[in-house]
Amino acid sequence: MVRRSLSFFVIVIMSGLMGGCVGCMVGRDPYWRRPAPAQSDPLPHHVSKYSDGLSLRFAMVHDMIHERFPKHGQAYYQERNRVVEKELASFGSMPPEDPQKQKRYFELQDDLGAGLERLGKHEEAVALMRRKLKEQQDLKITGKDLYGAYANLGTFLILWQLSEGFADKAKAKARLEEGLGYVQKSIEVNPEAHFGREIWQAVILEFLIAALDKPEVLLQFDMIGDRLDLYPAPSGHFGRGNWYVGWEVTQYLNGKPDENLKNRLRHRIMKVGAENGWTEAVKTSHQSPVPFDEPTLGIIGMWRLGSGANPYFALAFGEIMLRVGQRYIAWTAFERAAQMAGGIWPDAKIQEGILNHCRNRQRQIESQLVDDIPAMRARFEKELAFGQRYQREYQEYEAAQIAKGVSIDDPRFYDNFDFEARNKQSIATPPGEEEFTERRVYHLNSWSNAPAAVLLFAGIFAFVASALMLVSERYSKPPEPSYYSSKPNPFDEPDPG
Amino acid sequence: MRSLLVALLAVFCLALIVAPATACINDREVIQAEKEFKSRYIEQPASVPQYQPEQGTPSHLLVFGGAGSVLVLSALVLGFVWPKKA
Repeated sequence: MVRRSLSFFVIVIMSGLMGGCVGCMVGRDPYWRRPAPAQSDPLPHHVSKYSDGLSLRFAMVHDMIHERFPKHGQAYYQERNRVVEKELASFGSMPPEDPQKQKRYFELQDDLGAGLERLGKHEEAVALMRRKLKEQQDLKITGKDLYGAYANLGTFLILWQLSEGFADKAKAKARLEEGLGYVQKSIEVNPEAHFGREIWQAVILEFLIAALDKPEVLLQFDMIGDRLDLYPAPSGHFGRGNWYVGWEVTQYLNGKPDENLKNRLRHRIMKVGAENGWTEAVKTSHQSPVPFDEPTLGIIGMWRLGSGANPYFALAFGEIMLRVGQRYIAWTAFERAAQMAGGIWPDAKIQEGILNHCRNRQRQIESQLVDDIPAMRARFEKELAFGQRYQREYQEYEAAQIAKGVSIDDPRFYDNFDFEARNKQSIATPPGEEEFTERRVYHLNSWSNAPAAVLLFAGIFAFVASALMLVSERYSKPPEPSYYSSKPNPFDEPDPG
Repeated sequence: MRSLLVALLAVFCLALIVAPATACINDREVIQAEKEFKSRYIEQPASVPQYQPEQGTPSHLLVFGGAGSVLVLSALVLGFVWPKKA
């Protein structure tokens, strides 16, 4: 083993360290150069208000506006009433004692009541529901089990009063208030029912009752209290562009239920409704803005499973979608509302006001879009016609099946309805990218090359330094003696020999 | 006459008002319709490509790291074994 000076090893180590620094700079990929792949996260409205509840998709709103959903016809309800009456007759005049049979008995009453109502037989529907409610109360049934009776009785009373008119105003007001009372009771016992639409049914009734006294309120607010006189600036609060919220939504949806996280995420959803002046103008249960998915789902439920399209719903869709930045959907909602504006109120001034409002909103949206406006209108018409054709053929198919003797309870009743196959598209529009926010992922992989590069360059520098020093040592000349080392030293003592 | 007109107007108004109130008709259709509705939208999420980071260490990095380590050790060992000039 050769002894070498400490400086040799210090120089080798220092060279290695220098090489390591160079390797670090070479091996690390700066994040601004490395392409960062995108991760998509759902928007916060994917977090449903209720556990096991339905969460909103913008495609649902689009499909309601364009009637892209199935709807039963008169033939269907006539046949259903016939079948239900036959089965009810088998129970006799009193509810059975067996709990399972009792449950079936009350369900059949709901079916028959709904069928009678859809065929315009209001008085019979109301009488049936009053009987059902009394029978249930006599059996000491309480709470959620009374939901069906409350909701149906409230609705049937209101519809019945409409058909009879208001010659007797006191009686009319009493029946309307009774109806609204039952709707409110149904909300108390089952607030999560059916997308929460009972809440919004009560809100629209309160709005329209206020409009009876003050029709001008129809030109000030939509049915949930969005102001019509202000152009809203869409806020980023529904998560778009906020990558951390998106990440949390993904964690929530893929993880265990976490009530705190759910509430925190729902707090990030854009709130709509009950804007300035609403609570003064309308005596209402809807006192403050709410996450936009709540009234939207309520209106979807009412539109789809109730009486269908009306200008109040379309206008509310337009205002809500405008506030959350879904401008294309908002435009189509205003187009639909404009087409139905003649039915919003029997006052031409109100009708014209709503029509002008819808057209103004559309012009404001068009000024921000780069799309071809005539093409947008043509596309809207084409899609609405498609949805309406679907519903028409659906009802014709039902009538034909019933005429052939096919049971409406047969699970294969609709098997031969091939509208979607013939037209090569689903009637329900699939959700798309509008449901997601994008997040760039800068992974630690940008550092993963660095350790190897550090070692490699440290080794190269250290080895080269070592080799250079050894080579220079071998080929270097011995040092020449200095002038002073070759002359005798006068101060040295003489050699005694 | 006036009260008749007012009554007729009120009838017409409420005929429009109440249309939305048929929303809360509850029957056998509702639950099945909601399930079907949910299946049309919620259970068919939009396909959005998700980033999958690379797994494991690439082989070339192992080679570079190994070579560098060998060179460092060689540089140090040479200092001990390379003969000095006499």
